[in-house]
This record gives sequence, structure tokens and C-alpha cells, in this order.
Amino acid sequence: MTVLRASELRKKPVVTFAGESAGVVADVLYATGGGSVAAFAVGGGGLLSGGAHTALPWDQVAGFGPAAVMIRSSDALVPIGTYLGAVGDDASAGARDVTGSTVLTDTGEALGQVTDILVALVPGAALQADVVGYEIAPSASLGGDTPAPGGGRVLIPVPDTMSVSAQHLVVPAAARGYLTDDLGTFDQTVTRFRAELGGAHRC
Amino acid sequence: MLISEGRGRKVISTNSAETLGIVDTFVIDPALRRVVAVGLSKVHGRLTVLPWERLTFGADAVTTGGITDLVVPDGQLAGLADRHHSALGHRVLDTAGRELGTVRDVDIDPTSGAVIALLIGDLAVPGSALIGIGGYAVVVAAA
Repeated sequence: MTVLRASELRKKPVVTFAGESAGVVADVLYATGGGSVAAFAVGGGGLLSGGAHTALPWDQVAGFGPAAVMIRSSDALVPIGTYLGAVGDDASAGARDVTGSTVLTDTGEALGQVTDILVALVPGAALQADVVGYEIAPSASLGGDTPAPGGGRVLIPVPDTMSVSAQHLVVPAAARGYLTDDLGTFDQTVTRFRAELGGAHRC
Repeated sequence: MLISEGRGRKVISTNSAETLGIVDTFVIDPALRRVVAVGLSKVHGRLTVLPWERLTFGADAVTTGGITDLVVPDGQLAGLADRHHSALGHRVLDTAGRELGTVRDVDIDPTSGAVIALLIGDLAVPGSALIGIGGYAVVVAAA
């Protein structure tokens, strides 16, 4: 399992199996609830006139690597309006980027503001891209007792499913014990955190 | 045979014994995974492509019947012969989105034209893994 920052996904080339460029990732769209990557917004491909953005639904991603997002053909891309219309108003609200939202524990403590989203790529027959955590700019209450390397940003794991609104992300208070600054071992952090939650606790 | 060795070889007419041109490029159809034509340089006029089934790739020269065997590429062949779709020197991606390097050379069967291997740095990727040759990259199946 590889954990990436969502910001690293932007500008990644989208390439067909025929070897043609189909554009670059302009943005990451999340499923309702923010638990997984639902699609990429793709721009600058030159396939559609006027630089119109298209959406690449995650289930159409054939390969995802350091150099490119691979698709079987440009048929995988749909106009972004069609995509957002198909997933519905409800989902398009959830599809919004949560960067800037405040992370709040279920006991009412504000941990900080989201600066990036951590996505885990789970290889397998069907490639999955789960949201496993956030990079946050810690709030003053955390700043006192948390070392602040790497520009003061810390990483926090999140459960499988969680409550998200435009302003807040609510995480179990237990997440506070799993704050880290190490992306390299973050997959283990998530595994331990989710094991503690036991899968029974869904907030 | 490496296509770097095949480049520059003279194309001789067996009818007239004249030199019709010089082998310049190899046109590979990724769907067939073989060379379907060679592009010639130093040819008079616009007839610049010699379909593979009309030539014999010999050790010292390429032979063909005559000038009437040369064609102006059109349709699908024109797309494949486009210089942007040349494999040599091109970036290689696998279907998992990893970059493998650039195509240094291509090993082909001089009789059938089949692509035996793509040479990418120190790596030899079998021709059977070839999936696409496009303007952005050559695409091969992930190992």
C-alpha cells in the first residue's frame, strides 16, 4: 500500500494505451463522505476544443504509477458536467475538495485545518484509492505538545467512513494519539488506528 | 536484427538493379507487433514507403521488385509512419503508469518483421508486451 499526498496527483499526465496524451490531472474528486477518490478532473488534453475539462472516473483508471495515469482509450473520459450530473447534487457536495476544512474530534477539539489529503493506493484486481488521512496545519492547542517538523504540518489517520461537511471533518478522538509526521510509515499508522477502532465504531 | 543496423541500407530494384533509396525508418504497427513498412530517404518524388511484404531484407541490401512497389503512405499507414509515432528515442510507459526509460533500439525478425524486443537502457522488453506507440509514449504491458 502506497500513501500519497493528493497534491502530488495534480499535473500527472493521463496517457492512453495507444501512447497518446489525454491531458493532465487538474483536480481530485472524492466520493460522498470523502472516503475514496471517485474521479480525476482532467484538463489540457487538447482532445476537446476550448480546453473543456473532462472527468476520469476512478473505475476507468487502468494503471496508476509514478509517471502517469493510464487509461485504455480516451473513451474513459466523460465531460465533467455529465459526470457531476450523474453522481447527483448530493455527491457533488461530497466530491468537493476538503482542503481548508477544520478537523474536529467527536469530543469537540479542533485539531487543525486540512492542507492536503492522503490517499492510499491499494493494488489488486480492482485498484482502489482510499482516503486514509489528512495533512493538517495543527491548531494552537496541538502546537503546544506536538513536535512540528516539516513546516509544522502533521498527518492524521481517519476511519473508513466519516462525517464530512463543507466546514468540518469529524474524526474519533482516538485519532489524536496517532498524529505523525512520517508519510513513509503512514500505512502502518492507519492500520493500527483502524484496528483500534475495531471496525465496529463508524462515526 | 537491430533496426539501428538496418538503417542506411540501400534499397535495390531487382528489375532495374538501380538504387531506389536508403532505409531510413521502420514503421511498426503496435497492434500487429511487427514492422509493416520501411520509410526511405533519398527517393525521387513522393513515393517514400516500401511495404514490408514487398521487400526482402538481406544482409547487405534490401531488395524489391521495382519503383512501383513504393507507395505514398495513406490512411492507417500514414498515421503509423508519422514521425511522432516512431518508437526510437521515445519515452516508454508501462500499463501501470511507470516510466521504464527510452527506446534505444528495436530487435526485429528480418524475415517476418516481427518485433522481438524493445531495448530500453539495459532492459529488453519482449515484443509481445508492446501495446501502443503514440505521440506521448510507447506503452508496454506491466511486467
